[in-house]
Amino acid sequence: MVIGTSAPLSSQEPGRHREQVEGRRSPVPSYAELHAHSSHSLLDGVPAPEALVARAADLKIPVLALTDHDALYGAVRFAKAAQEAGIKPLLGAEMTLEDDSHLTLLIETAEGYANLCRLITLARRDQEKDAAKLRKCDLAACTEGLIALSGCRRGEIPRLLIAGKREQAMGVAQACARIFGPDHFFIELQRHFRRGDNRLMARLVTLADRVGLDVVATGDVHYLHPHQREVHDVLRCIRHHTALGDAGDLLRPNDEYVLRSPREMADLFDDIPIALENSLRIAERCAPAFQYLPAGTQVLPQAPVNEGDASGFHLRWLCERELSRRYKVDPPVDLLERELSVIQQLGLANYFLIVWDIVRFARQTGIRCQGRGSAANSLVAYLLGISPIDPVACDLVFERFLSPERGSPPDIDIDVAADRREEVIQYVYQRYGREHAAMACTFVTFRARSAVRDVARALGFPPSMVERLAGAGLELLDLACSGPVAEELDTQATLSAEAFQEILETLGGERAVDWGLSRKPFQHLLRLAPQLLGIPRHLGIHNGGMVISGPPLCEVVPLEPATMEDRVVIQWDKDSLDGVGMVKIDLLGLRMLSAIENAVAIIEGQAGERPDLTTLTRDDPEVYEMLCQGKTIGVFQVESRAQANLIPRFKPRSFDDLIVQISLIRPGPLQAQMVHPYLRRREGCEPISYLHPLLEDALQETLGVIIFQEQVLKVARDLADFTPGEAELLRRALSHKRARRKITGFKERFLEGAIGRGVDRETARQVFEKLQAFGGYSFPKSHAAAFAVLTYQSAWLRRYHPLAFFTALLRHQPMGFYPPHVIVSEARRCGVEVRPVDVESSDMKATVEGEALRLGLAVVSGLGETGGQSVVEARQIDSFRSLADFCRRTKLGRRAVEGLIWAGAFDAWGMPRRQLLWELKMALEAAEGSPKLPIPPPRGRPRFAFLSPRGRLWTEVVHTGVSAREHLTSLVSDRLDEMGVTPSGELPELKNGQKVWVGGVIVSRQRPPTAKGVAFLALEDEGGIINVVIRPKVYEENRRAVQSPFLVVEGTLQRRGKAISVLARRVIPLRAEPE
Amino acid sequence: MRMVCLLILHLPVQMEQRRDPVLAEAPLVIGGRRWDAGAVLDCSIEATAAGIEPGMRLSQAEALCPDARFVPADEEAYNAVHDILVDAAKRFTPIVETKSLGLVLAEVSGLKRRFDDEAGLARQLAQETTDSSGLDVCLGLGGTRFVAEQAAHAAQSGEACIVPPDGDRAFLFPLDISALPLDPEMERRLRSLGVRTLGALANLPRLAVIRQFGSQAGALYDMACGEDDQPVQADAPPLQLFRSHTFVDPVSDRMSLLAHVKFMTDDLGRQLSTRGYQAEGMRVKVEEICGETHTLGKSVKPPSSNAEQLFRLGARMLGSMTIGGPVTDLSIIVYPLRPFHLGATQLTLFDGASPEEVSTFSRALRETLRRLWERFGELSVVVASLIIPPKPSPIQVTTDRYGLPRAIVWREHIREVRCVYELWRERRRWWSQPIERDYFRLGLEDGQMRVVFRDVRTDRWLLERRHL
Repeated sequence: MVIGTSAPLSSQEPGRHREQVEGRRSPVPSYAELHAHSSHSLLDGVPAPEALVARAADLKIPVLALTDHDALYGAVRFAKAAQEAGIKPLLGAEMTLEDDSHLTLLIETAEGYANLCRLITLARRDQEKDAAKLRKCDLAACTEGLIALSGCRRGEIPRLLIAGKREQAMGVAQACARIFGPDHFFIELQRHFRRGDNRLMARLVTLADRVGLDVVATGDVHYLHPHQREVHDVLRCIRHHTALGDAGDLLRPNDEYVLRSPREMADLFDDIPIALENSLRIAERCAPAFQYLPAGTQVLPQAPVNEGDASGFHLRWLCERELSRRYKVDPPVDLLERELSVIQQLGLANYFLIVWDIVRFARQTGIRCQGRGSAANSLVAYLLGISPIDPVACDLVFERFLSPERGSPPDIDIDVAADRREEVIQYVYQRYGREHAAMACTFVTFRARSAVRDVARALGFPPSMVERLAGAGLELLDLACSGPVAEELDTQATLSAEAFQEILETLGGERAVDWGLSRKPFQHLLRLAPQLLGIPRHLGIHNGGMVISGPPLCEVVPLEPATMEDRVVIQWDKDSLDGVGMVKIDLLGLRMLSAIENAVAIIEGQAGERPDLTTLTRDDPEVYEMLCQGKTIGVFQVESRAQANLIPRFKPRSFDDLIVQISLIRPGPLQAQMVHPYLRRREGCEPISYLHPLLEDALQETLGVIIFQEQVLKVARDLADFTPGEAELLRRALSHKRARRKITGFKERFLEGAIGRGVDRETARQVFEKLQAFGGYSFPKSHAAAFAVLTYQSAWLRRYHPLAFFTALLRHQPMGFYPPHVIVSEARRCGVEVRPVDVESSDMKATVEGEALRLGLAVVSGLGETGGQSVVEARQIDSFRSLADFCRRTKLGRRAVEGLIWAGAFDAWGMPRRQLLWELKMALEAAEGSPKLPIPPPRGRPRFAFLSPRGRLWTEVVHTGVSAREHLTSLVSDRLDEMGVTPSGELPELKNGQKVWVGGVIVSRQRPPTAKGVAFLALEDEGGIINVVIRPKVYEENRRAVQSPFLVVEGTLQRRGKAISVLARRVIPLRAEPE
Repeated sequence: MRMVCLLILHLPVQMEQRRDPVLAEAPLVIGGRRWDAGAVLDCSIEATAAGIEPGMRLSQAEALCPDARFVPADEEAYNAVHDILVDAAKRFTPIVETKSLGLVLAEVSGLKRRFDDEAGLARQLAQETTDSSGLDVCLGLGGTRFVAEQAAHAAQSGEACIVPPDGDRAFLFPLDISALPLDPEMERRLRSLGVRTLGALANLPRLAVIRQFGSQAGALYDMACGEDDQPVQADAPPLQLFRSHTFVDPVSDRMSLLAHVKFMTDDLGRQLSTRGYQAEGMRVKVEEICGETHTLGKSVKPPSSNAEQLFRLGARMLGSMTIGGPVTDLSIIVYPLRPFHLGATQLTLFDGASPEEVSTFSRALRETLRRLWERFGELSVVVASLIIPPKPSPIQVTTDRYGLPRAIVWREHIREVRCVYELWRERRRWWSQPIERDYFRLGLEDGQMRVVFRDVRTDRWLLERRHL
């Protein structure tokens, strides 16, 4: 073995260093970088995997290994990017051992991949979030197929050598050589121009020589360019919750941890050329990542099938059985055959059966669930009961869900009643074992606000200022990325006074002297914060995505515990799973399903018969009439103010109308300005026209405008002759913000295809532009259809069973668009009697009491779930005899009982609330003593009168947020009368453009980003809800007033058909007084 | 009893706004800069409207009113104005009590004969205090401390509010209960019971109130009824400690007197230490049986609470007195007293600890220091800076064409570089004072090893020096 020595850099003889500078270089140096971190070494690496690969390609590095800390988070992105760039991607990890030392592991074979996954899982097990500690005994058991490098300065061997413990270091090296095999353990050499590097290197080389090991050079890359060192320093500070000034040794002393070209590495290791040669040797031995990453080879556990049946056969049997049951006439046999054939071709039969099994379990145990999203395009999903939508009746396109051309596996999303979702997740764990099922992860990346906040903290801004800066995060980043400030940042000059003033103005007109800060920290902040955007900050759990595997999951992908109890996540997010073709099942909690189930149960309890909502024909004119009148509060998907405004113009009369209506208020149709043309055409004010006759078939059902995602597919197919798979790829590209290059490719293909079908270029271009504006921010029809089922069901319940419906809604708050007091008011308007909280009658949540709705104890603030339960449990034993008895048996504290008194929960006792409040002191004292002791009669106690009606209302609202008997506006009714405010019920009688005063309680405030600064308020009075539109200028003038809970608005009435709103000119806040 | 209350409302705010009129344009908070760790000392009416109140943390105040101006407190100046107020009151009556900054109570029952009526007294008192302080003083006159204080709050700026002798209850009853020094919980409960005025509170049975709210409520109840009988307590004289001993059998023996001095200075030293004070001066007084007294005072240098030092000083003073006959009384007084930390002593931390141990402790030490500074101010702990390494000295270096040192000129001698053993780079503190240096460990022709570095930013060569 030829190794270098620790000779000086220069000597009297021509030194090695001189040689390297003089250019006595090997002709074509080559080098494989075997130790590089990406941004997925959370808060310890800067470059995204793709950027790392791109830089390696620029530097002509043939082989690159990604070795993030204890993780394979970025493995899929890295492998994909490297493959595209023609670089051989190797995977590995820098493992943290139990003594906190580092060890670099590289995957040599597929077995090595499984072992590394297992080792990372073991290292993460039982550790806190972001921490890992691998026991040496675990390491020794899983070394097959792995190559180990001795690690960076934090490696055990370098650490011992730095401490002067050479013999001990040699012992460790020998032990590692024994564990991994001498050919699989290398001494890692790094040169970062740190003090003592030479000495350490000499010792490492000597040790390698004595033990008989090879050495290898690595870069320990943490960023790509020296200037990124600043970002890296900031990330380290964020990780360790410290400021740069206090970070000390947590920061590296220089900016040498960059990715170097082979030439630079050859120069650096000129004295030890074998170290570079060995990097290539190792690279050659290691299999490229795509050889062992799953890549569509996911093995799912076997779903339950009849004995002896294959999955495909069982799936066909289930579908055919159901086909004849559901389609009495003209069953779509061909479609079923086509779908089954594609499913068979893609090997997804087992996957469908697994989903079917989960849905079957949910139904059997009374958990309401249904598929959503593109799965509703599938007849098979419909027949298996996964989706409630008949794709034939709704004319849905199967390819939107599944096609052989699609590079990624399908996702089946299932909405599950939110309150029982956990049962379904636990069923999956139980059925397939905890080793075979886990949740997908998500990477929470830096956004404007978090980037500014964290960088400001790291730079040592005072805490109060950090929050101010974070609040203006978006505006600050805008400043940093464009305009004169950005130019100054780019030139690295000190910020000018004007630029600094602009920054301070962004922060709300601060005076620099008030902060006592110089310009420099602001300059650093604005320069660094944008560089953090998109870098993963920490790990989260995906909403509901579960991954299931036949072999233990920890051999397929590393697992780690989530912060939530009993949850394990895999180290890949949705995109990585897509990238390797692994399917996941999304089990998403939906409160509306819980509410519907609850309402059905209430009806069953009242009427003795359970309504079967699946048999509803979805064409009841009464239901549609109710919706057309704008009575949509509580109805799924159509209750928002935007929808409520739309409904009087749209006037849905069929289930298909509902599907369209749900889809209209989405960013896609709104941004592409499709909503008003559609409404005008629907109202007959505008003729239905098409940009080209070929579009008629695709857009006929939506009157010539694009509303659904599927229509993008149809347009591409009909106009430009795209195959279904190609069309789906186009849709995906359109929905990705950063896929411009891809879109350009598709555009050419689209134009050519259209011209080929006889469409002129200009028309084709116009159509494509429409598609682009539409983007992907819209519902697929299948998804809208699935949601429309819930819309209809909830509307039907509201129409025919308002008591059960509103009770169920209140039981599952928070849900939907409105706070509970609006739901209570709406229930009253629908004729439902609402009764207040009562300690003798109320349950924890709202209940039906005869023909009335009884508010639950949960609305009482300060009571809590435990407190409420204790009241219910104590009452079940015996009714309460006195306040002292109540306090003794419920063990509630003063605040909780006070809350109940104010909420009116003791009103039935006929005592003034203040009297009870006065007695409470004695009652609590008595409750603490022995129950057998007689309570002495109070002497000279004061007498309190009953509260006035307004006083009662005030205290109820303050302590529960709702009022059972009266509307909240009663608190300001005298002021409203004084100001001559028009009640909402009288607005339809007024003329368009008429000046009007309206007032009430604020129900919602919205300022959507798409509205260009326009704000929308919803005010409620006793008669209903009034929509108020506030233009930006008026909003700025009345910014504070708008925050008040009660308002009076002076404005102009606006009418569009039956839709009424008030355009505000002035907003006056009202102050509600208790008495 | 008649009591007067002199009040300079928001004294610190008034002073700061007078110093810098710009501060009157926005809500003002006094106590520190917005990111300081301290508390609000005072705030303007606009800031109060935003929910800020004295005693609140500055960060909390900042959150409530981000637009406010924050000004550090100049307590010395505020106290000076307050003293003027006290002095003005003392010209009328010796019974003057400082209740808080800018709020002074005085008993004026004895002034009946000097003034024709109370209005005349009030007018003159207000006039004198306003003239001497230069700020608007509000004056309240009533039968109890509480009534006088509320009257002062009710008075217009620079004017007096006089509550007639039989009008206390009528004056108090319409006032909001927040006028009483209630704890927040009691105030909350009273309000929730509908008790919003002092009159409403006074209408409740006293015993029931005490039972409901505890024994403290009795005093508050009496205040609300205008029946509290707490007198004005004159401000204590400057703090001093003294010990004296009367000899039943007069003593002529010096050794015996010294023993008593020792005993008394030990006791004084203990007391001083316990209270956290140091004495700046000491006085010894001896009274002979014939009635002649000898008094001698000396300053304690440096100020101390050390009993041994006090004893030595006492003994010296006793020795210098010409005492003719037996002594009947011996007194020792230490004065004036000042806070302990002015004579802080330096401590050696980690004495005898190894470098590794020091390194382990250094992080904890930094944190401890940070907290001490945060809590007690920057001067509470001063870190010794005796161990600063010698500064690098400029040096001339000739380099070869690759930038490696070839020779150095040091102490006027040229020394050739035999070899460069190591090169390392330091790039630190880019966020404040960037350090960009290329270091070279050189072997010189005379066999010595030196470390030189090039400051990349200034392109200067320096020689790294180490401790001997």
